[in-house]
Amino acid sequence: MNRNWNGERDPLVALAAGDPELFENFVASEMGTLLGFFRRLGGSQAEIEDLAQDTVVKLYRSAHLYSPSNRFDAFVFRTARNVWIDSRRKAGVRANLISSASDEGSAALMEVESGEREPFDFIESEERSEMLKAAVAQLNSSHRMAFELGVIQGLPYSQVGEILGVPVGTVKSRVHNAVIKLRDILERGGVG
Amino acid sequence: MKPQASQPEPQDLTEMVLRGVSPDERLLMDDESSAECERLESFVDACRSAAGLEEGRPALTARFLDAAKNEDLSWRGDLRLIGRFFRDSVQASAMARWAAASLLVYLAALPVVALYVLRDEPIVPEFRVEVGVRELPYSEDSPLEVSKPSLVLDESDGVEALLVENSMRWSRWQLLRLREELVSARASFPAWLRERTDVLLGAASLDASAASPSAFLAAELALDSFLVDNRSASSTVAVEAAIASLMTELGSLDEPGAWLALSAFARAESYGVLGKQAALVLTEARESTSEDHPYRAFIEVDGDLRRRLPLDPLWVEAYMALTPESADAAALNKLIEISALQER
Repeated sequence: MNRNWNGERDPLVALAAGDPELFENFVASEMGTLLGFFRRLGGSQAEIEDLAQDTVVKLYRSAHLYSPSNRFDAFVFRTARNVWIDSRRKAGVRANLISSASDEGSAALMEVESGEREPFDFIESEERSEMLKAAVAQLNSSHRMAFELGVIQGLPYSQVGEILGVPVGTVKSRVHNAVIKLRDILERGGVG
Repeated sequence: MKPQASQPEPQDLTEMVLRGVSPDERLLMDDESSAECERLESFVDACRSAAGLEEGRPALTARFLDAAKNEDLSWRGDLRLIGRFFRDSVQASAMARWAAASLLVYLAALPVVALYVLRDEPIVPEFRVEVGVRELPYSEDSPLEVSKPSLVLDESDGVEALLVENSMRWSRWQLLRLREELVSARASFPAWLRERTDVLLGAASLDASAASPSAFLAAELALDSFLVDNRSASSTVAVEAAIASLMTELGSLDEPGAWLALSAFARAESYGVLGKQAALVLTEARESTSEDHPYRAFIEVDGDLRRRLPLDPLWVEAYMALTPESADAAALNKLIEISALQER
């Protein structure tokens, strides 16, 4: 997340109290976070916009039931994850998406020139983003979600465990394996 | 020189990098771990940097907020969400579609089945022509049935004898049908009623030497015995004596007593053992009594039958009213309940 929304700055607490300003600021500020979250999980542009919108709507609807726990960011990602799972269930095309994303990722990786460099070195920023998306798409869904929450969003393992509903030890293992796998993918793609 | 310390496992190293490695932790690492740590930090920074490109657009923000604010937060909105959930579930799964279709069929069929099951069958009059021998309305195996050879009827009194036979068989048939109820109710009856029950059920024989508390009860007991013993000589004598005794007392009886006497006459008539004098009294009573008199039923003849049970609740009620010491409301109610089961 770009800003800290926990505690007194909790947008849902303010919304439940009748002040929508903080929620509007949250949406404006963190829309990129939500879009990136869904993009790296494997959605198309139109799809990730719909998913981000669904997440915002769900957050808005849940304001009157929300119990503040100083974990607003975890609540947001849990909601986003549920929206993602629902969308996959509806579509029933998870395999196809992963497959197509993998193809896309492989193609992007193939375009990168080889050399004795760390992953992402000397690559334009937009290309980096595409590379990362393509590499992440090759992870399995549990590693992908653990990487997104633990590495990209930088949430503590305990919160990642709460969101995913798994023990901290499992999170630790998934994040580490995801990092190793990603490095391997990027290096095999000719980067490392 | 770095101090010797156990080096972090790869998973721990990843965790340390993600939460930020402290200087102390870095100091404790050997060269290999330190290099790996730096590579990981570089990789994570690169990933975060690559991921951080996503920008929100004002138009998209406005669209999201409009969608959120247009949400119906009332119960209707919740209902719509639930409906959408079910619609999506049904669309997504063939099994769910099958279950929903089955449920719909079940719900549609349920009222029809319930109507069919709960509806009373209409009473449709049935007309038929029977040829041959009709089934007897009583059991040939009954212990109350004829234990001695039937009377040989001569032609002169053929019709009357048939009517008598019919009446007695009807009474025995009713006793047979109500036997179980009478046996179970017997214990709750007062002694005098229990005595009649025992005689009618064939469990005891009439003790002619015993003094009866009243001429009415004695007459009914004699008739009970006459019915069960199939007109044995001794019971015939007992009936005739009881009827004669009642005839003697008839002039001095008040109205309730007179009706009990007339009831005994009518019962004796239906069994074919009523003397001429008593028959005249009975005929006169039938002519002079209005149809709606409460005790008219005692002397009424329905077609070819006097349809009164041997243990007639109307008679028991009248007898209890006449002799308060014999009254027992519970026994009377039970008897009324049992008599409701008689077959017409």
